[in-house]
Amino acid sequence: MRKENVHLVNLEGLTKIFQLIDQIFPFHIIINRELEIVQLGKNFKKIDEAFAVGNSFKDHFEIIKPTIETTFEGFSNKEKEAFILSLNEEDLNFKGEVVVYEEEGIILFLGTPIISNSEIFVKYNISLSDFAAYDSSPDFLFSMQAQENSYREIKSLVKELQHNKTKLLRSNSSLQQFAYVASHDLQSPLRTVVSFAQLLEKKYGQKIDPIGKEYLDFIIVGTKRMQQLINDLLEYAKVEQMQSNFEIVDINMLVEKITFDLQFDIKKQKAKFEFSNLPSIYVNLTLIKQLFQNLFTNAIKFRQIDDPIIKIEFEETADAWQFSVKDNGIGFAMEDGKKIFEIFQRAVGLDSYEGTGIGLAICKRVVEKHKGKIWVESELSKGSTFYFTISKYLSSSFK
Amino acid sequence: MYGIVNKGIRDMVIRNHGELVWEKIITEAGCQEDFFMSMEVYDDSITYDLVGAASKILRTPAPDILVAFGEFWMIFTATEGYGNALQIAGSTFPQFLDQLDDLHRRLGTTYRELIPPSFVCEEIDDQTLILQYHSHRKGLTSLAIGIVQGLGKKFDMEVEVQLIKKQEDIGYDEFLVKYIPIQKETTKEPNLNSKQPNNEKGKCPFSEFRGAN
Repeated sequence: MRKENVHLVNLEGLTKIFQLIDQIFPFHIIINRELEIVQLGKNFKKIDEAFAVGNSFKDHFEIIKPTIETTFEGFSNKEKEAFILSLNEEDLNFKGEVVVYEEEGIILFLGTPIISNSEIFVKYNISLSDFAAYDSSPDFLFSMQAQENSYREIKSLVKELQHNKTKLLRSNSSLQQFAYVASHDLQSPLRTVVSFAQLLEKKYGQKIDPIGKEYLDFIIVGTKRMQQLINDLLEYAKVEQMQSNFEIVDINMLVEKITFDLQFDIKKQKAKFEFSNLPSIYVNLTLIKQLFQNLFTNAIKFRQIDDPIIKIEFEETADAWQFSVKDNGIGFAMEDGKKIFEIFQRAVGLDSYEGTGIGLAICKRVVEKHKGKIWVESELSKGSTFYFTISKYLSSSFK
Repeated sequence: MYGIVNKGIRDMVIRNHGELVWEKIITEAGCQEDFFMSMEVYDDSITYDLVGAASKILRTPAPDILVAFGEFWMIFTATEGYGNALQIAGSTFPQFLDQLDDLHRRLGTTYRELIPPSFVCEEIDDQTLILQYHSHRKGLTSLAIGIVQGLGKKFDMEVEVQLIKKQEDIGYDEFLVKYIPIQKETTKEPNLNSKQPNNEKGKCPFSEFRGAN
């Protein structure tokens, strides 16, 4: 189609077109049948003063792609292909395509420099204004730089995250150590306070007036409560510090064992446990026992007038084993139980029940150590269902 | 605005005043995060809040902060790796200013949500030009002044920028910019980020930042 149009004009007639080409393609080359340069884009002079009309194409350029013989016919046969030209003995390449005017015996190379780095601009004295507005070759530099920057930023963020993680782990470990040691060491003086307060009451109770006795009772009750809190804290710290391995545990047998251990309370409260076909899974026995035991104890403790019925069910998901422990107890409004899995936090309205609020915090920690989640659905006066998951993809041990 | 702007403010404050002052500024600005991703778009209000907070903590008028940031911007973008790219925008002070719009347009193909200002130059003589600064954002006149001054420093030019028409009156700012090459003997402020204090004649001033990461 292009060739047919050119049949209508002679070389003189092409002058205007050549001027236009120079504007649109400031890196173009026009050569004749003898491969002499007929016209050059205005920027070639900036690149090298040696460029001149009349020079041989071969004196300045080498064809990198496609593989052709550097002859007029060679170009003609590859008219529709992408060309890459290299400046002889230089690291500057041009990409583009050729248009062959067979009749007039000229070839147009319409292209632009390949911008792989900014050194090219400096070395060959090229600037943005040397590119046609439509030519996006220089934009590549900005894009490349933006990518490099993003990569550097992400790398630096990952490094910072790793650093913070290490710091956090170290700090956590120190805190756990502190909690354990502090709880452990506090027990002894507290025992002394309780013992001597009780001794005081026993030996000198007759000599103390009723108000003094009341004060003494406050001391004993308060210190006992403190003892309980410290014991619970110690239990929590033990979970944190545990370095056990995972093993295959038959959850059916485990539940049976726990209900046997709790038989005194179960009989007293006339509680009934319903479960069957629970799986054998890869867990830490000590921790998972504590998890179920805490949930069962709560289900029995927070009962209504009806005998407690506790249902344990399970379902397998793609990544985890999901268990539920459902009771028919007092339940609570969901908005009152937002913090129940936090240490020493209890659902609103349960203060009259014994306990410190550590049990569910321990459950949460145990579940987390098994890469799982724990949550609850509850309704006041209608009971609660505790759900938790245990990951199927646990490594052989945890820290 | 893209995160690279807020990142620049952070960098300038930390370099000149230390991490502690930067922490005070982000607290004062009510900023949720103190790390900005260059390619992420943040609400303009964050940038304005940071400048406002910096003004309060550093007890410096906000326009002065913006001028300082404008000057620093040229250094910062170069050290951020854009020194390479800036080399291609022009080898002289007026040429660079004249090609800023083209530079921004080309940056826009990478920073798709870029809404850059426009700089229109009219050469009066070889040491004077009229510069129009068109921005859809308000209150950044001082930033433009800082950028022009910073650019002048990069090209070893002594630059005087005078606001002759205001955005609130005609919709854009117009500056009279006078620039003369700094004589070698002339005492000038040390350029803390230049590896070479004086650019050789004809050498693009951004080339010193090539590969600076």
